[in-house]
Amino acid sequence: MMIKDEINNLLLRSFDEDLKPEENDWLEKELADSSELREEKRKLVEMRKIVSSNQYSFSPGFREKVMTKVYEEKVPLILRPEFNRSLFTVFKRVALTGVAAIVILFLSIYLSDDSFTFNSLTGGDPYSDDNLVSYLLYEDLN
Amino acid sequence: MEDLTGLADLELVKLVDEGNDHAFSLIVSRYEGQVARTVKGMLGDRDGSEDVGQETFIRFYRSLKNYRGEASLGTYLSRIAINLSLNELNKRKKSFLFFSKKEDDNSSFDLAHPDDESYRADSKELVDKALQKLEPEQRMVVVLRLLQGYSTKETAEILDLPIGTVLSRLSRAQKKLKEILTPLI
Repeated sequence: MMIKDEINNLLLRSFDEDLKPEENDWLEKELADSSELREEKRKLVEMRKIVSSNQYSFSPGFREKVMTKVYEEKVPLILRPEFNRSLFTVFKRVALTGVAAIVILFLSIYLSDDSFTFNSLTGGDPYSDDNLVSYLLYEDLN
Repeated sequence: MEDLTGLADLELVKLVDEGNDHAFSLIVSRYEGQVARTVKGMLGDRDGSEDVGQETFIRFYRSLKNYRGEASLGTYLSRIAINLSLNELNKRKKSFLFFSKKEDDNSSFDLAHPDDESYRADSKELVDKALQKLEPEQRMVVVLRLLQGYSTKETAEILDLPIGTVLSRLSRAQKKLKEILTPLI
């Protein structure tokens, strides 16, 4: 069993390295004597052929995609058209949200105060200093 | 546009360094297939492997000044592709642990009859699955030696490994591949 493992390992190694002359002779002899080993060798040759002939490729347009990325590498981020576009999109969203919030605020003020005076918008006191003095005087008179 | 197709790799690299994008486009054309074999051999023919392929060329573009032509351009790109593939495998491993998605098992793989049209696609799928069953350390050796056709010495140089390690990994990988690919041999 141990010899069989050893000769199998030798067979495996023979595909990828130059064996020592004595190892090579031993392997040749075993191959001549054993049909099992010859079958093992055939399977290994076939397996290597199948793996090495497997085709791999990228999808069409791969080169163009790489070149687009190369272009992006060369042009600073803020100068790229797509950066300006995305910046505009982001700000458009922020601006629209802001406008919507202001409209809702105005509407709620109008509904609660029934007016659009400066004081109702700023939440300021309707009494000016002058008015306050007259109010206090009026209080004293009563 | 000038015809640069006859130029050697190093001359093209020099032109790219001078800002010639057409020269870089030619380099991509020349080595697209080789990078595809490395990346798809390592990661499988699925989503994400194409991004790693693109990233390989972009990394090369960024490090153009470091390339002095000591190794061939193919070897240099293979090294980048292997490293990026290993990074991607680590990322996938982390997300696999997180999402705990079960991988397909090939034990019940239905292989079409050799006369059938689908046999070719089936056998390709089985080879892909067989490669994915290998440990990444064994897989990268198989990819460089069997798919790319590098010698064991070149493989050892690309991976910066002792030649004995390359040989033992190859040996273990072949045993496993032979077992998995039995339906094809």
